[in-house]
Amino acid sequence: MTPSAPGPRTLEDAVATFDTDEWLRWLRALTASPGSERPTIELQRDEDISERLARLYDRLGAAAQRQRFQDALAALCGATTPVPHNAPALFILLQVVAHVRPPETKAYLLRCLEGRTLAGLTHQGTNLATLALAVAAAYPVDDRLVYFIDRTSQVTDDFEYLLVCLRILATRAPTPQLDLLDRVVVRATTPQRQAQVTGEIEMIVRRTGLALLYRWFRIRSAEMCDLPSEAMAFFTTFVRIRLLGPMDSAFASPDRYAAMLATYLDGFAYQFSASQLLFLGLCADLVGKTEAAFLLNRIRVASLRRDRSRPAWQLIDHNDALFLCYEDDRAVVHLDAHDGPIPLRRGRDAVVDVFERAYDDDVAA
Amino acid sequence: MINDGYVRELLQAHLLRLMKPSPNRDWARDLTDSDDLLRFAVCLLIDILSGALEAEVVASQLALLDPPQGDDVLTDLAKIADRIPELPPGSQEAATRLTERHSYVRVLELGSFTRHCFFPRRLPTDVEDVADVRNHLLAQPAGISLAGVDCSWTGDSDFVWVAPSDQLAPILDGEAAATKVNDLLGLGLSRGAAPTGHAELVAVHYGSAVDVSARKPTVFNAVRRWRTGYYLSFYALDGWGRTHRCSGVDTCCAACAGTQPCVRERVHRGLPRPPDGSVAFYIGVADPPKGDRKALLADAFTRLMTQLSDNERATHDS
Repeated sequence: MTPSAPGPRTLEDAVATFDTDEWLRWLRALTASPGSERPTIELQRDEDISERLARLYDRLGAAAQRQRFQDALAALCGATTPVPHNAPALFILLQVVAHVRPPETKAYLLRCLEGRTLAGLTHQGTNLATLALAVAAAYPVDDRLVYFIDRTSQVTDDFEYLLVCLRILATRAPTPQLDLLDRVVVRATTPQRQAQVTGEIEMIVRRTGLALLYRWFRIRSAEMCDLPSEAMAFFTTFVRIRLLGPMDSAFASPDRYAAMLATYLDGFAYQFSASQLLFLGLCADLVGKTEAAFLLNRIRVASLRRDRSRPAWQLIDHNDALFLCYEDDRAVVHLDAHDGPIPLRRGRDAVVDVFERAYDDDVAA
Repeated sequence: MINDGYVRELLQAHLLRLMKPSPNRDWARDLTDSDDLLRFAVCLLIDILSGALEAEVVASQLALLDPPQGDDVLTDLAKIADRIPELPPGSQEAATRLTERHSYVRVLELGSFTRHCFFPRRLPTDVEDVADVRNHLLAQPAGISLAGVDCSWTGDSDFVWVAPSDQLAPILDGEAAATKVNDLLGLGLSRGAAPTGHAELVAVHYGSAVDVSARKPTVFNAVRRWRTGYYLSFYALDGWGRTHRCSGVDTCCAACAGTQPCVRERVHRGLPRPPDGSVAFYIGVADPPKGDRKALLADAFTRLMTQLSDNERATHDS
C-alpha cells in the first residue's frame, strides 16, 4: 500500500523559531566540507545553497528573526578560518553576506582584503579575495574601499580582479576612476577578454549612461593618448558599433551623452542638421558652457577643413554668455541663459524653427 | 493503486539480487519507505527495465556507497550519480541517438540566469543586477545574444536539462507562458527573483542544430533535486525523457489520451560556455505550481506497468 508520509514541513517552518545559536550551528553544519553530516536543504533546479539561504532570509517574517540570522552569519564568517579547507564554506557564506549585509561584517571584509588573508584561496574557479571585494561593494562604497581598489588595481595583473574593480567604481563609487578603464582596455588583448570587457561596459552603460565613456574619451583625446593603438581601436570600434550606432540614433537616445560622444568620435565626417547643432549647444546645461562650445567648435573646424569654406553659423561668447548665431544674426540662440540652464524642451521648438529655416534654406540653396 | 510490496519485489528481482548481503543491500531494500523514495525506486526500475541503466552497474555502485548514516537516503544516492555511466555501452540509445542534431531550449530562473550565466564571474548579484538583466531582456524582444558570455554553462549541477525548441516555442508564444512552462516541464519552481519572490523565467534558445551531445535523462540526473522536482523516468527508448507536469496529468500515458502536449526533454553535460548562437528571451513570472504529488506517484506506477508490459511482450515475441 502507499506509505503514508507526514505532511511536508517547509524549511521556513523548521527554522522559524531558531535562536542565534541554533542558526549558527545550522549554518555551520550546512556549509561544512563535503563528507560531513549536513542538514537536508531542498534546492530547486539551478539553485545553489547560497541562493536558497538568501531567499530563506527574505522569507523570514519578523525583524527579530532576520536579526538572529544576521548575527549568526556574521559570527560564522568571523569564526571561519581562511584556509583552503574552508574555501567551500567561505564561498557560500560570502555570497549570503552580499545579500543579507550584516553591518558588522563590513569591517571584517575590509580587514580580510587589506590583510590579504584570502589571497590564493579559490573555489569553483572563483578567487575568494575577488569575491570578498565584490561582497564588500554590496555595502555602501566609501573612501576606504575606493582607496583600496585604486591601490591594488595598480599593482595587479589579474584581469578578472580589474573587471570587478571597474564594475564597482563605475557603478557604486562617488567618483568614477578613469585610470582603471585604461588598465582594463590595455589588457583586453584576446577575443575572450574583449568579450568580457564589452559585456562589463554594456552593463555599466545600461546603469549609469555614457557619461563615464564621454569623459574617458575626452581626456584620452588623440593628442594625449598613450594607450596602444590596437587597444584604442578595439575599444573605439566597440563603442561606435555596439553602444552608439549611427549618428541619428545617438541623437535620438534619451542619454544626451550619446549624442555628445558620437559627435566627439565621428563629428568630423558628418553633416549636422540645425537641430543637432542646437541640441549640442543646449547640452551646456548638462556639461557646462565650455564643453558645449568645445564640441560645436570642433564641428566648425571640421566643417572648415572638409568644405574649405566658413560655415554659416558661429559661436559667440559675449559678456560671458554663449550664443549660437546664424549668419548676420538672422537667428540667435542664447545657449546659457543667466536665469539658469535652458531646459531642453522649453521654447526649443520656436528657436529651432527660426534657426533651422535660416540654416536649411541656405544649405538647400 | 500503488503497491509498494510489489515494487520491493521488483527491486529484489532486478537489482538487489545482484548485490552481496551487506548493510547497503538492507537499506536499498527500504527504498520504498516514503513517497519520495518509492517514486525513486519506481523510476530506477523503469530505467533498468528499459535498458537506460544497467542493473549490474547500479548494484556495484550501491555496494561501494558508505551505508547512509542519516535519514536522507536521497542525498547519499546523489553521491553515486556521477559514477553511473551515461549510457550502457551498446544500448539502443548509444547506437542511434547521440549523433542527432537538434535545436534546444534551456529554461532558467532569472536569478540563476543573472548569476550563473549573464554576469560571468560567479560573483554575488543583487536586486539591481537582476533588474538590469530583466530590463535588458524586456528591451530586446528579439533576444539577447550570449556570444560574449564566458562561464560554465551548468549552474550548480553537473547536467543541463533542455527541451526541443520546436515543441516549446508555441507554449512560449502563448498566454501565461511562464506558469505553463513551470508546470509542463515539471520545474516546480516556487521561489525566484521576481519582486514578489516568485520564479521569473528565461528561455535560452541554443543555435539551430547545435552539436551538443544530449541524451535521455535517467533517475540519477534528477536525484539531486528530487523533492522539489517532478521527474519521472520514461519507458520508451526513443532518446527522449518525458517529464511530468506538476499539476498531475501525465501527458505521456494513456491517462490523458493524447489530449495534453507531451514535453520531451534531454540532458547534456556542462559546457564551458553557452553553445554558439545562444539567444536568451524573457518569458515572465510563473505562478507557484499547484503540485499534485499523489498523481505523480500514481503515474510513476502507471509508467512502470507499461514498461513491464512492453518487456513481457518483447519476451513473448522473441
